[in-house]
Amino acid sequence: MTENTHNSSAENIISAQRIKRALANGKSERISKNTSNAIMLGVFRVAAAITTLVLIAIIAYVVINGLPHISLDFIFGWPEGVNAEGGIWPTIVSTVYVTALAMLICTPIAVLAAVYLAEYAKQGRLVNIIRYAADTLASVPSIVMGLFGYALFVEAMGLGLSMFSAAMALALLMLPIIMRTTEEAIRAVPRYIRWGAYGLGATKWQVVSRIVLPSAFGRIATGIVLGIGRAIGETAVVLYTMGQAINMPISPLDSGRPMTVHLYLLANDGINMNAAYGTALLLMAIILAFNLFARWLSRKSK
Amino acid sequence: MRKLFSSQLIEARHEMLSIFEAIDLTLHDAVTAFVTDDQDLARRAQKKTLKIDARCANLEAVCYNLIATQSPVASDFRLLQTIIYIDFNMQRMSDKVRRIARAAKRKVKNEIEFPAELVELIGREADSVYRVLGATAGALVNNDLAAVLSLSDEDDEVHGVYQEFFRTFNRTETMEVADDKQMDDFRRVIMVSRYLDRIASISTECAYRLVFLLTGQRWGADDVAEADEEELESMRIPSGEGITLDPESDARYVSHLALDEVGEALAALISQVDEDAE
Amino acid sequence: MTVYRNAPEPAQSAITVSDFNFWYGDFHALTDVNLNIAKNKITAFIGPSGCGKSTFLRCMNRMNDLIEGTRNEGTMELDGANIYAEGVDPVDLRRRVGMIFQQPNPFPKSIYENVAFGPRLQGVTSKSDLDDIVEESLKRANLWKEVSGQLGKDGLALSGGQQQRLCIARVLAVQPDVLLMDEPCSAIDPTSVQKVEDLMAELAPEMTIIIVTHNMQQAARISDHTAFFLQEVAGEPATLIEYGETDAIFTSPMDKRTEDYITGRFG
Repeated sequence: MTENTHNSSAENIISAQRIKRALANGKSERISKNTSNAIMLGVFRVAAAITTLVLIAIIAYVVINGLPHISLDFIFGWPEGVNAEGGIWPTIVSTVYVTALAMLICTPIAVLAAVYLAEYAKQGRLVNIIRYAADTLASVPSIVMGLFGYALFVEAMGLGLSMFSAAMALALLMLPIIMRTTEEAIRAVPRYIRWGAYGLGATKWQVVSRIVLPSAFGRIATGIVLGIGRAIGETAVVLYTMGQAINMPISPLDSGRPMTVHLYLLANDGINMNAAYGTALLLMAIILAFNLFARWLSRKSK
Repeated sequence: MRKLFSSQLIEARHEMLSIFEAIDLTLHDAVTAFVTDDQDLARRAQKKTLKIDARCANLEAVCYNLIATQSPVASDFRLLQTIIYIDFNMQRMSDKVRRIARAAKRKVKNEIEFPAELVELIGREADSVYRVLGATAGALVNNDLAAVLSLSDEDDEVHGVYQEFFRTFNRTETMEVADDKQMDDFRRVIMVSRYLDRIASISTECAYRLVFLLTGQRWGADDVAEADEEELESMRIPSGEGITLDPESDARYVSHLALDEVGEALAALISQVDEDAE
Repeated sequence: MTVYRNAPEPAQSAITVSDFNFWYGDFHALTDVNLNIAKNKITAFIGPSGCGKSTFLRCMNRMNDLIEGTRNEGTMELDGANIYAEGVDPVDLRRRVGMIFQQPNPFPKSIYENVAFGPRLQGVTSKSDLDDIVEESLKRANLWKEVSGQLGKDGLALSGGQQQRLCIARVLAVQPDVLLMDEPCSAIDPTSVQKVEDLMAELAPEMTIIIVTHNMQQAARISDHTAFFLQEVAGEPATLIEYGETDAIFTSPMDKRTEDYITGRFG
C-alpha cells in the first residue's frame, strides 16, 4: 500500500514535469497577442458601424425628403388630378385591407400545418421534404409569386384583380414564414412540460391545445407579425393581383391600389416625387411599428 | 475510485490489528509480572494499557468521522461497524489487562502469599488465553470463518482452567488475612483468573464479528456454535477494497505475536513477513 | 440472474412485472426484468447512467409510448391487470400512475391553473370543487403555506424546489395510486431536497412511490426496497441485478457489482 502511494506520487511528479517541459516548448507568436486582439476588434467595429450607418442613411434620406409632405390631408385625403396631388388614403386602406385578409387566410393554415409537422407527423423523410418545400417557398422571388397569383387567382379562378386575389397570393408568401416560426415556437416548448401534461392523463390534443400552443403563443404571434411586415412591404405580388385603380375597397372582390404600388408608380414615372417620399415614409413607419410590436411580443412572451 | 477513502479504511483496519497486537503483548507482560513478582514490569504494563486506551479512543473518532463524512455503505460500512465494535471491546480487554497488572503490583507490594499451585494455574490459564488472542488475530487477518467456529473450543479451554482455579482455590487452606484491606487486595489478586477468562471471551466476541463483516448476518454466539463451516462459507458476500485486503499486509501489523500462539496460517504469514523484512 | 433479498411477494404488490423486455427500435434496452413493487411503500431504482432505470420507470405509465419505435415484451400488471393488454388506454393509465420529472416542469400558467389542470381534464368544472382540490393538493404537497395568498402567480415564478412541490401537488390533484419520480431532487437545492423527501415519507402510507435516484444516500434514507439496474456491456441490454429490502442491499449486497456501485468503486 505504502509502496503504491509512493509510486503514484512519483509518477505524478514526473507527469507534472513533462507538462511543464511541453509548455516551455511553446513558441511566442510573431505578432503579439494584444496587437492581434486589437486589430480584430477594430475590424468588427468597422463592420458594425457600416451596417448601422447604412440603415441610418436610408431612414434619414426618406425622413428628410418625406417629412415635409406629411400632413393630415396627405394621410386622409384622396389623390387628385393627373399628378396625384392630395392624399393617399385609399392606398392605405387597400394595404391594411389586403394584409388583414391575407393574415386571416394564412394564419390558421400555417399554424395547423406547423402543429401537424411538429407534433403529429412521423418525423422522417416526408416531414423533412415538407420543411424543405416551405423553406424553398419562402425564397421564391415575389415577382414569380405575383405571376403565379395572377394566373391562378385572377385568371383561372376568375376572381379578377381584387383584394381577395391579392390576399391569397400574399398568404402564399407569408405561409412559409409563419409556418416555420410557429413550428420552431412549438418545438421550443420544453418536452418536460409536455411530459408533465401527458403524465396527468392528457390526450395529445389536450396537450397541444392547452399547454403547447398557449406556451408558444408569444413566439407564434411574433412570427405572424413578421409575416405581416413582409406582406405590407410587398410590391410585385400585389401589382399583378390587385390592380392599380385608385379605389376604396369595400368587398373583397373590389380592386385597389396598395401603398407600395402607388409609390412604385409615382416614382417610376416621376410624376410626383414629393408624394412618393411621403408614402415611403409612412410605409416605413408602419413596417417599423410592426417590427417593434413583434419585438415587444417576443420579449413579453419570455 | 474513492482511493483516499479506501486507504483510510485500510489504515483504520491496520490500526485495529496493531492495537490488538499491543493488547496481546501487554497481557504477556502483565501475566509475567504476576507470575514472577516483577513489580517494575507490572508498572510498565499498566502504562502501556493507558497508551492503548488513547489509541482506541482515537480509532473510534476516526471511524465515526469516516461515517459522518464519507457516508459509507455495504462492505465499507460493515467494516467500520466492525472496527468500532472491536475497538470498543479492545478497550474492555485493555481494562482487564490493566487490572491484572495492578494485581501483580499489589501482590508484590503487600507480600501476599499465593500458593504455587494457584500461580501455576494462572500461568496455564494465561497460556490458553494467548492462544485465543492469537486465533482471533489469525481469523481477523485471514478473514477466516472456519477459525471463528473453532474459537469457541479454545475459549472453553480457558473457561475450564478458570473453573479449575476456583475449585482449587476452595480446596486450598484459607490464608492468613490480617485485616479488611489485606482481604481486599487478596480478592483482587485472585480475580486475575476471572479477568483472564473475560479477556478470552471478549476476544472471542471480537472474532464472531467477522461473521457480520463477511456475510452481513448478525449472529450471536449461539448461532455460531450451531453453524457448520460449509454453511457459513456459502454465506460470504462480496467485499470492497476496504475488506478484500491481502492478509500479507495485515500480518505485518500483528507480526510481534508469538508464533506458537497464533495458529499455523498466521504463523506462516508472519514468517513470510519476517523473511521479506530481512 | 437477479438476486432477490426479501423482495415483496406478489400478494402485497401494487405492480408485478414478469419477463419484461424493452426495445428502442433495434436497441434492446432492458432484458428479463422480474420484480414486484410493494404497495404503499417507497421503492428506489438505482444504477449508473444509461442502465435503463428511467426507461423502466417510464414503462410503468407507458410514457415510452410517446417515443416512436419503442416496443416491449412481457407483462406489467397494475393491481392485477396488465397495463400493456389490448384495449388499455394509456391516457387513463397515466391518471392512475402519476409522474414527477427531474426538471421541475410547471406549466406556464398560474399556480392555481397548474394544480387545476388535471382535474379539469377529467371534467371537473365547478369552481368550488376546483378550489377544494387545489387547496387540498397544495396542502398535501406542503406548499399551501408558502403560496396560499398568491395562487394567481405564475408557477414559473416560484423557486426550483417550490416548483417541484407544485408539480407534486399537480399530480396529487388527480389522486394517482402510483407516483413515479424520475430523479426528482437532482435539479433542486438541498433544503428543498429535504422537503421533498419528507413529503415522500408522508405520502407513502397511501401511495406507492417509485423513485429513480443517483443519490445513493437518498435511496438508503427514504426507500423501503431498492432495485439495482446495470448495463454491463455497452450495446447489450441492461437488467435488474439485485432487488430487495433497502437495508439488506445497502449493508450487505450479495452481488459484487451492486457492492462496487453503491460503495462508489464502480468501473
